[in-house]
Amino acid sequence: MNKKIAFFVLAGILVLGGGISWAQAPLFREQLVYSLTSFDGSGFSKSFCPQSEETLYFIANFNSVVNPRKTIVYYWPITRRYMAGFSTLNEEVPGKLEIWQGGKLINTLEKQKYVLYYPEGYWSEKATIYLGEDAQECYDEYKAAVDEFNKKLQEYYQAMNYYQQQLNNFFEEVRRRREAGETGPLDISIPQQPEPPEFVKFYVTEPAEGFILNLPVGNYEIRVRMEDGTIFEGSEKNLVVFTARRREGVGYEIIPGNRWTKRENCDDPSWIIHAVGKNELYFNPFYQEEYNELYYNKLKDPQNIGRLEKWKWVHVDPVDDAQVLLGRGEEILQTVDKAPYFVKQVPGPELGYEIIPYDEELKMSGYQPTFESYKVTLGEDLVGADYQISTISRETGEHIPKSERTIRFLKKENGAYLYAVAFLPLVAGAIIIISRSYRVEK
Amino acid sequence: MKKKVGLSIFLAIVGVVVVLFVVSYFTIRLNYGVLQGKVTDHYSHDVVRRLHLTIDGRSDILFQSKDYQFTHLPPGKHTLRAEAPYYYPFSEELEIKRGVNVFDFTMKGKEIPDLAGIICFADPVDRGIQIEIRFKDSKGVGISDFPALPLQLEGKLYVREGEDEDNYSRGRLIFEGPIELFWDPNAYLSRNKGLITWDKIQIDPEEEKYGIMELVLRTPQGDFEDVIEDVEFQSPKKEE
Repeated sequence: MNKKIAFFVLAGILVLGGGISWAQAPLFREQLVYSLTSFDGSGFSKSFCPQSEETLYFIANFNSVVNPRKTIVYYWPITRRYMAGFSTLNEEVPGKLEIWQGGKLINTLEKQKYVLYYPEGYWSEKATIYLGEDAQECYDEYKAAVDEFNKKLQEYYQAMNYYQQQLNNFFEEVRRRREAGETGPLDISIPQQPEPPEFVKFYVTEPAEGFILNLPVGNYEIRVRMEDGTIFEGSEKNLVVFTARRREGVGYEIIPGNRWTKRENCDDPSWIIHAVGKNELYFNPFYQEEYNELYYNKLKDPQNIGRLEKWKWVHVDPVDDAQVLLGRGEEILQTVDKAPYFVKQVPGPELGYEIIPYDEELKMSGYQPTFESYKVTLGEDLVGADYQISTISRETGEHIPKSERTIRFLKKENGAYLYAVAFLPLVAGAIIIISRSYRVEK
Repeated sequence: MKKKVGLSIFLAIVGVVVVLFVVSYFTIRLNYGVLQGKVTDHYSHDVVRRLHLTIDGRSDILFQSKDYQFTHLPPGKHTLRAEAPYYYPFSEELEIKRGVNVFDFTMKGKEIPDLAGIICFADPVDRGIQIEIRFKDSKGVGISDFPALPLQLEGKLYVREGEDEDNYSRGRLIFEGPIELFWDPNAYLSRNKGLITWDKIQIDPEEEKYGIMELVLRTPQGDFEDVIEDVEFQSPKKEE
């Protein structure tokens, strides 16, 4: 009885205690954080480093931006991360950034103006950083292009208004002449619909200021020194500047046709692509670099976790002007060019979508391609186990080194036997139990 | 014999634990001090904005926080200095010991920058008539960044007599004297507010709906006057 009471008391404490902890509001603290725009091999990753993280990570010999800011920081237990309330408080911290190595001051940086230039538009990953006067020039160019677009858009709206009037006049004229008894073709010119202007393809961020770090591989320390010579509290951080272990080969992003939102990577040449049955695979080859997993994850966001002993491939640039080949031994079965595709939603209980080639009709309807890729069809005509996929350069016609991968077809016919194998330990256990109970009875 | 062996083993284990504890204490313990505490406005106990703190070659700026912390301070005597716009500077010599040291202090407001006048508004609230005091500068622009100062508000409240809004005069005097002031940390311009509770005003709610209030705000920077000509006497309806 006493045990039961003790159990319920303990359970009550645990439940209520848990409830109290759930109800706690996050604690808001004003903190110095480093706002980071870190070069990640391809473009720039934006993150921030709260006080809880002692080390910043950057790729060697490329410009990255650190910007000390005062903001409100709170811990968000759901994601187990510190969050920054930049919309509540985002104050610049004055001073210069000192870089130390081995106890020696090696550089003192002042803030510089910078912009990020996205040559393929706002949503593209590839970006370049411009500094100082170049940054302002780049931004002015973008502003001029946007102003030019707006001007053309105004002209387009005016032209559309005029076109609508002309069209109404045209129909009115047709109606009037038909009512007047005119038959046969009418000699009236049809108004031409004006073409809308094309939006500015590239994008440039607004000029901002920050400390530009561009360091060789090594370990450093940084801190902010104020004008009065004092060190800003919380500004001292360790800095790990690293580089890629390997820069070679081609990695593939694979979009399976039967679940296009679940993209998978096949980066290492030793990895095998397993395929079951008829399917369509959309391959996107990338040049890649191999980084330490911990360093790279922390570069993307200092609160990320990673393993120091592991390495990971990072796609840095898409392989352009190439063809993807599917073959078996020396025989080439498919030669595929890059093409745009559109994912069309299909109502119904089945797959729910259809991947179709992006054509003029879709373009005229105002749709954009969902993705561009090299489509490899794994049909029923492919018999046997292993096939090879590789990428060749259009320019040279030669295989791009380490772009070969093996596609292995898994047989489904005798798959049911695997269930029987899974049940073997249970059967063995049952036999032992029965035989023992039989012996005990005896 | 067995007991002796057991006792010596026990003593050996206790000895090892004590040695480990002492070694870890001297190796792990902080060789520096941490100074932390709260800084508030002396009069309002609100946040002191843009507070620049320095101690022993380290500094910090607080924008919205009352809490400060300095780490890596060598033990010994240090002078903590604090400066903020429109506040008197503060400094205090502190004895920093190893570990955490706590020191709370307040900052006294010095002036409201370029104060040239006040604009007041009155609103009926549950407790009485609430008066918002807004400061304006020499250009007539509202001042939003200012410290709390020792202020006194005095006022006279008359019943407004007249048929319409353009043609009225002062009627009977229904309140005269000092008005209770309080600080509203969430307000943008009118952080200083006054309140005349309903029990201090005797009005006929059927006949007397509006009043005229003459206000004098006494500040260390001089006295400022304003008149509110549309003080509502209708208190908000309370929910049953």
